[in-house]
Amino acid sequence: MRAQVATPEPTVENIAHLIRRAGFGAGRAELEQAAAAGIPATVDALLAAPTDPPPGVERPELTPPSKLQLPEGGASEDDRRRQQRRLLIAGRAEYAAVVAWWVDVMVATPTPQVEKLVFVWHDHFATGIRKVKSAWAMLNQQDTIRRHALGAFPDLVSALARDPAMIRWLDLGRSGADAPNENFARELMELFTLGAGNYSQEDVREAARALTGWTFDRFTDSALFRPGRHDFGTKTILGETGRFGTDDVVRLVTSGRESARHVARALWSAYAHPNPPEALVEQLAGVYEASGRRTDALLRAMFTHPDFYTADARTGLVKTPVELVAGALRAFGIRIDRSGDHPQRLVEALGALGQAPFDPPNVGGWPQNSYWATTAMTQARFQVAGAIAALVPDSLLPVPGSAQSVQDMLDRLGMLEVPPQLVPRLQEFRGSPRDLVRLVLASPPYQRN
Amino acid sequence: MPTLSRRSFMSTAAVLGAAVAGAGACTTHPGSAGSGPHGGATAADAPSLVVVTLAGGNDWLNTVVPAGDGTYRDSRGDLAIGADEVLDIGDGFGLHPKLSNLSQRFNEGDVAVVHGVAPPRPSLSHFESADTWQRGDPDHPGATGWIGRWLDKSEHDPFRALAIGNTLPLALAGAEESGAVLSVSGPVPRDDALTEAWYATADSADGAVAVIGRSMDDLRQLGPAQRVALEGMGGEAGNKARGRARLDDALAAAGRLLNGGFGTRVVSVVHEGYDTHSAQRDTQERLLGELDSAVGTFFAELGESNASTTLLVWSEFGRRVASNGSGTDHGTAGNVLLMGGMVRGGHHGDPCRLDDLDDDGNLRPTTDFRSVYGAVLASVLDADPGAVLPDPPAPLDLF
Repeated sequence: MRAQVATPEPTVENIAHLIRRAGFGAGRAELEQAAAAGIPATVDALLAAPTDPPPGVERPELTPPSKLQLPEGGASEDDRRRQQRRLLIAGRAEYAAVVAWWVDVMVATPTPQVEKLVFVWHDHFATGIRKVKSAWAMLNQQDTIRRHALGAFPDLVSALARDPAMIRWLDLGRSGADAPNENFARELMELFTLGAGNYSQEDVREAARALTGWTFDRFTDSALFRPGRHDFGTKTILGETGRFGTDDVVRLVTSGRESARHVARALWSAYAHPNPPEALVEQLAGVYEASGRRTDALLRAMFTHPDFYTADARTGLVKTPVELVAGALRAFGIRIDRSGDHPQRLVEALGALGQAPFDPPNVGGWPQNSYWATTAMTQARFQVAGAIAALVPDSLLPVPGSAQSVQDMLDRLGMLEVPPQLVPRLQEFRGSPRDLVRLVLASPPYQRN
Repeated sequence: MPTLSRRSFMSTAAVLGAAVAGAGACTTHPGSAGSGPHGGATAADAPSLVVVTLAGGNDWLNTVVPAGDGTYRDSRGDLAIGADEVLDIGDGFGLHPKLSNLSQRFNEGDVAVVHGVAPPRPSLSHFESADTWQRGDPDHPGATGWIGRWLDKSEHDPFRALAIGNTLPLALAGAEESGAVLSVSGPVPRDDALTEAWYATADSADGAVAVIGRSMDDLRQLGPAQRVALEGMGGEAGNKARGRARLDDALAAAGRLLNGGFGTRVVSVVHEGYDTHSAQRDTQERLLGELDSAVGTFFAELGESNASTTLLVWSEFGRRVASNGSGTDHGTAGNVLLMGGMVRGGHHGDPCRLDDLDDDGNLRPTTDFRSVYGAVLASVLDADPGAVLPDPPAPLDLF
């Protein structure tokens, strides 16, 4: 492993890039402060944050499975249908409530880098409410992710292997010694820890046997191990043999250089650009392993690496819908209205953009870059820019006719490098401030992460 | 964070746009001097294809029912559709009672029912199976689909293949070209100075964002098409979650697009909800009822383009023969339905044998799905199947 070269210059442009990628961006004032502190100190501060959600945003009331009022055995067909309909409507309302809560947290938190990381892990272990059917379970999974977000990755995997939402999502509860279900074992290796080609079908089968016995207990809202459903026999997984259970499987799939590369690749792709070169991956994997497989160590190595600040890295990512919305709302201090049907409208807006939290397209999570560029989603960016522009407080709008106030607004958005072609277009709308804001928020330079 | 007055997020975006197709940016397409209002071919000029995806894995056994087969009745128990309930289409089969429009069109010779269709080595996974069908390639993983690779053979034309919804189906993704995705669940796009100014900022798109710039260029051209798709929908159609449209709205939009003279050759729509592990009887009744009604209306409103428009209905797999109690689990072979004036109506392909199942209790397919695509490519899309599908079997005689 070659020695780390000197950290990049703490220019305000470099810091803007770091803060945009690590979190949801910031205005010029905050960026200049961070530049004065330098990159290593800024990174240290980012990674020292507690990962609990900030106390100022009230958590939604969500119904755990144990408290759901399911139709009774003796109820009539009509009563059952009515009750099921009620559950469906209540379920949708709770889903919207938890999305509105999380986006409000992203806006209000003093530590956006935590929310960003929690979202990155949510995407990595993409679990979807469509199948889990419980907002309570999705938020419970998020709490589990928060506990281990910056810590040891194997601990995160271990906790998620027993997570109720994950159990439901990947059919672990349906897996018994007589018929082991391979869904979780396969996705655990392919997507979460090792990557395609680094394990065999046989490994998947054997791991599935080792993972049997777990189920979700609807009465205690937690994972339950039932020895009667577990295969206690000997398994051979990734070259090792033993009477393996869940903890062993987690150990086997999260040890070794291949797993380190997989995690390094995943986080570099999420934060810097897709398809990192192998030499870089090797370097980061080494740092990660040496640290005891800690996420904070890996992120520190990434955020202080010169390759994080190259032109390729800076132009390598399109803002995801969540990054776009959270960043814009933060810049103008716009909180989420959590009353009435506003949460549902927020869900629709994020859905139109292509990314409703807790609802990934599949277990592979959300793809990057060109995925966001369908004509429908691109048009949605223009619509949502309008909706956000309508919410900007009057005091923060650019003043008609004042070039300085346009510059102030761009500074507030952290847009330090505005392409020259854009400026005359903005001037056209200097008489209609909200149109000007909309144009900026929808412009391609603002879509750059 | 200072306390600010709470305002409704998205309330303004929910307001119906007032746009009417004014001097929108229309393009005429060289070499396609057709008769439509935008100068391009209408469906009356060049054959077109509407792909209807039944997402989730439709239980084809209860859709195209082997009504006379005793094994069907024995395996399905309460879930079986009665011989007296089905709509007879001959050869021992009857359609689900909700498919009245379909059965009428079948009797008029406009519906081809293909039996026993699946990819080789069928997968019971939604993602794997849907991907294989969309790619049109059971052997190589990849990021292109069968219609996308057809698009790659022509120059860029954002109107040529359209998907109604929010995400691009893999089938429409090519290496260089892709279908455009039209949302029909949002407000009508406006045609004003701000929108034009936004389109003009596309030249500031660089790096990874360049794809958004190209999308903005396409959007500018697609404006008229989108307005045509949205007209008559009251501005806010469909299910807003994930940008999905209801099937009847989507097919109505497809019909308008095909008649709009944009030169559109392919439209793709999705009907969700077919993964009936439980509550199958009620769910299928509802879904097939919606399908039948939407298809009936689509053809009724298509007018003279009826003769050259083909609907292809497929699902990522059929379901297991045995009932699991209230539904069925993932299976293998299913039917594909093709409808329209060009179609050679009747039964195609060998029906599966219900008394000769594989080790999982699933049907053994008889027809390679690529032989259906091959027929469509050759007869509807003027393409050589071998140039789009790797190593395809001979196309079926469906047209």
